[in-house]
Amino acid sequence: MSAAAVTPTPAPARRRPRLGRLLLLRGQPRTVQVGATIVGALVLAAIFAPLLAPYDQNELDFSNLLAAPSPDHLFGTDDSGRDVFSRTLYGLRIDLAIVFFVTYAALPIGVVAGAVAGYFGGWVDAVISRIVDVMLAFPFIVLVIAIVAITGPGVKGVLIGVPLVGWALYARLARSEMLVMREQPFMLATTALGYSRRRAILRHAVPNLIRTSLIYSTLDLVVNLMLLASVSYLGLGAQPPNAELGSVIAQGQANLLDAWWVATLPGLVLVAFGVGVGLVGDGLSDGKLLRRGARA
Amino acid sequence: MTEPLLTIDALSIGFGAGDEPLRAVRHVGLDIAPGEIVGLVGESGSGKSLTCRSVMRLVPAGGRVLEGQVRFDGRDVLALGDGDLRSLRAKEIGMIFQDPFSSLNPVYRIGDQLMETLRVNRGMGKAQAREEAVALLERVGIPEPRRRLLAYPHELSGGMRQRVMIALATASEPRLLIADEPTTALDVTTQAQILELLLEMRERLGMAILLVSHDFGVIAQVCDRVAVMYGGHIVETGPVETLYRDPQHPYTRALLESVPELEAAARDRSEVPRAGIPGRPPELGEELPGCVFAPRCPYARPECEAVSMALVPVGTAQASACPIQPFRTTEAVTA
Repeated sequence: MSAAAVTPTPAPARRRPRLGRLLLLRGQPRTVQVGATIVGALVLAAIFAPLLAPYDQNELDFSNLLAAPSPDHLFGTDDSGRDVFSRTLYGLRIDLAIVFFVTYAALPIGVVAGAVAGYFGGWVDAVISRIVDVMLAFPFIVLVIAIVAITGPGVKGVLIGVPLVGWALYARLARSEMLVMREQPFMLATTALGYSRRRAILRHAVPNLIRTSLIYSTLDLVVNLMLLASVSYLGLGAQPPNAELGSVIAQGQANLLDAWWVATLPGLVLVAFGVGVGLVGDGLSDGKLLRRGARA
Repeated sequence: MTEPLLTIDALSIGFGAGDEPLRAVRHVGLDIAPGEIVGLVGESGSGKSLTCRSVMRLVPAGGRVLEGQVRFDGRDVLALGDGDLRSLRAKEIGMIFQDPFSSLNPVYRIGDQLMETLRVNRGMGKAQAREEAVALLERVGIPEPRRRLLAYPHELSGGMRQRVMIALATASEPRLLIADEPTTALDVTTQAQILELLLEMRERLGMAILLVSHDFGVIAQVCDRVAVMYGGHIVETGPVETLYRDPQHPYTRALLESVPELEAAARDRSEVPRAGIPGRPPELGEELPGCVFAPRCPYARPECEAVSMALVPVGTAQASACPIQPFRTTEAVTA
């Protein structure tokens, strides 16, 4: 496929990227296949948690406290006799929903802000870049705690805090790419053709510079998941009795020595998600998945 | 003479803020009549690209027009408001660039890019724009235009891409096309085809062309008139044939002599004169007294330090910035 990008012979017009083929992962590097499989399985598990979970996440069973993993309780039970597997599924469900939302709410804001800064330069750039610096200088978790102090405990702190700060990194990435792209003849051409600046930035620049941000967003997904887990580990996330990976792990920690599974198995799910996303991100940066990017 | 379509008058462009900007273009004056093809030739850094970019107010960041005027069809381009400027760019002046590999947006099909221009700049509907895009591709000589609409830029060869770029820039049938080194990145046969296409487009649309190049051969093939730039100045202008046959400025002569001749080379390599120009062109902002070419000029004499670089008419249509006119009084010494 990449050969077509090199040989200048006019190839027959290509169809739209074949979503089906992409989903089947044919011809993708092994890392992407493995990563996407892991992520896909976890996302499906999260979506279908209510169907997959053998028990209600809050169902107590005092005759069965801290039971070891068994066919009945795949991940064992915790100190209230709740099924850890079910709690992990529900926890994953809410965590992934939040993490995808906060990451991909921040991305477009950041990319557009960065593109605008890089395109105009001058004082526009100065203002946006200083705001970005301030955001990046702020200790993230402190900010989230501060927001939680205002909104009260619950996932709101993360829902507001992460996009509030998270856009800044995308803005910085997009700005630096825009500085290069601004000098590209095709951007000059948008001006020479009399297009509006808005059209030049949103329609012509952004689709070319979003690729880097998409790659970075896979890393950001993991960072945000960890952040969410830390916040709920600190008791500032989803409120009991509802499960979240961080709070499940936090509760299991008390019994780590005699019932390792309560904290460890949800933790491993967290790790698996991180590894899976990281592998996909690797594949993206190889440029094989998004092969129509500016740099063929 | 007919009223010129474009007039560049005493234009100076400089870089850097303050009272002492570095001057890259100095007192350049140039007229283009409707339908005329004018070449702007010179080596890198002579200010030719900057001059032509200023016509569309596309001087890169950091650069600014210090003095002078650009008038297009009676309007003062440098004083146009945002809306008027956009409409000038959209409808009346088109521009193509040196590098056809990056002058099309890599993420869009060429059909989408053509249709975008037609819809935005000519207010067409989707279906009409599609038909017109096919017609545009046909006009620039792209085979199977309907199928090519679906191609991405990377699927086309350099020459094809430049053709698409020409289609894009001429979609609104502009009255002036600025071609900034349009063939430099292409091989020689493709180059000839693109130049041929430019001539054809002139015939068909009656548009004037400002062709920038460092290659005298390219200029000679298509231009009616040519202006030679050196160190930010236009040092000589005139009709292509006379200027080619009878250059009046020492720099023009040196430039023409530095074009290697294939026939001579084929006969005997040792016979090919090494006709490079000794020395180096002035650096950006370097202020020389009098003639900028004097340090490299074989005919330099003390009076050169007092030369103003204003163009002096030589004969009927030619003008040279060299008042000493060594070729009028003495026989050529160099040959």
